[in-house]
Order: sequence, then structure tokens, then C-alpha cells
Amino acid sequence: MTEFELIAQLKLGNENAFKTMVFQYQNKVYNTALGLVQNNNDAEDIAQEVFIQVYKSIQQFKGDAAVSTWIYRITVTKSLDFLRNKKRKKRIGVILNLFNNNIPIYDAAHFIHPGVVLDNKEKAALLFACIQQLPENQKTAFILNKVEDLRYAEIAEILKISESAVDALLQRAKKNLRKLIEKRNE
Amino acid sequence: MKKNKAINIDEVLKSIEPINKAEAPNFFYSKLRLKMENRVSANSIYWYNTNPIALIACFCALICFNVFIFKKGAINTKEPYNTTIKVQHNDYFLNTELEYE
Repeated sequence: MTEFELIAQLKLGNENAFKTMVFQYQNKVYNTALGLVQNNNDAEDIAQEVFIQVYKSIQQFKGDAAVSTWIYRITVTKSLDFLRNKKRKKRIGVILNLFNNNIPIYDAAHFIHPGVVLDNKEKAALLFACIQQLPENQKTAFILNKVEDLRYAEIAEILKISESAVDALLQRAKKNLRKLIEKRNE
Repeated sequence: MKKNKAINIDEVLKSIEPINKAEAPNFFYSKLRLKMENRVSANSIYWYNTNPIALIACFCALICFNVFIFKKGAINTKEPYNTTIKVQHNDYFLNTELEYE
């Protein structure tokens, strides 16, 4: 089934087409979400929400971009929304903790990506901890490039920016990561 | 020492370069279908909670009911208290005038 046929069938409400699409993109969506939120359960939840959103808004998909670009865009948006909510809750927790010491503050757990080579696990864990501290756009560009292995042109289309802007984002991300790693090493 | 540190940072940065892609958990599609079905049934039960038209309609009905009750109450209070007592007494064949007079 071609991409065009798949979309046409999805718009008609064909359940098999939806199943085909989920099987085609589930790993991409899950891997991207996992890179961004750095938690298996949260990534699975986000991946499910992405496909529910795709199912709901398929009628509005005009085909201006490739389906994969559209799905990546939804994944990035959902993952960043999730991280913003988490940060907000954490901030509220800190404020409440000032008045009540019994409320525990949960910090990010030590995350190890399942795809990392065994020898590099410790270093990769340190890198992922630093990635989490990057600004949203730098983090997204870095994850899409390094974890999801997307080309500059694809990232540019997903983030709706130029290829040179993607390059600049990645350079800044690397520079900031160097600083963050150095700070943690001290 | 400084050179070692620089190498270390580069190693950390390159630690994810040979990275395999994570795969979605088993039964992902089944779990997704279940979530979608649960959400559809939950939406059909509580549709009035989120549907703005339903909320406005409920609010208008409440306002109309209140206006109706208020107007009815206003009409009833226009009648003198004794009149309503007399009407009731007549309805139940009671002659209480004697007792009061």
C-alpha cells in the first residue's frame, strides 16, 4: 500500500489501514519519544497518544508534508508538552515542600537507552542526563539527529526551520553539552 | 590532564553514536486499541461534561426554570393570605369562619 493509498483508506476509517500505519511507525514514534522523555512508560504513553491524535486528525491532513514528517511533528509536540507539564508539577512540588516537608520530590531517574552499546552505558547515561538540560529546540534537533538518525533536511521539515538553522542548533547543542559534561565532571 | 579531560568529553559525546533504535513494547497495538475503546466509552458517558453546547443548554434550562418558579411565586404572593385559606377551606368543606369569629 502506498502512502497516498494509506492516507485515503485512513480517511475512510479503514481499521486495517490504521493497523498498518501503527506497525509502520510505532518504533520511530516510540524511539523519538523515549529519547526526549527518557522514561519507558512515559514514552509508551506518549506513543499511544500520538496515534490517537493521528486517528482523530487524519481528516485535517492535507498531504503538504510526508506522513512520517507529520507523525514526527506530533511526537515532538506531545513529548515536549509532557516535559513541560512534568517540570510544572515539579515546581509546584518544590513550592509545596517549603510548607510541608513530607511531600517527596521525585527527580529524573538514571536513564539508560536500551539501544546503547554495553561498554558505553555509563557515558551514555551521563550524556542523556545532560541532554535533558538543553533548551527544547536544541534537545529536539540533537535527539532527532543522533538517536533517530534523521538527516538535516528531514529535521528541518519536522521543526519547520531551514537546514542551516538545524546545523546551528546542533552546533549549539554540542557546545552546551560540552559545558554541561565538564561541569558534571568537576 | 587537560587533554585527558577533553578526550573524556569527546568520548561521552560519541557514546551514543553507535546506538540501536529502541523498539516499541510488545502488544503495543493491542494496548493502543484498548486505550482508544476505553476513551470512546468514557467520552460517550461524560459527553455533556465537555460538550459546550450541552453545558449552555443546561444553563439556559436552569435559568428558565428559575424564572418560571420566580414568576409563579410572584403571582401566588399577589393573592391575600386569607383568600388562599378560604379557598382551601372551601375545597375541604371546612367552615372555620365560626371558630375565628
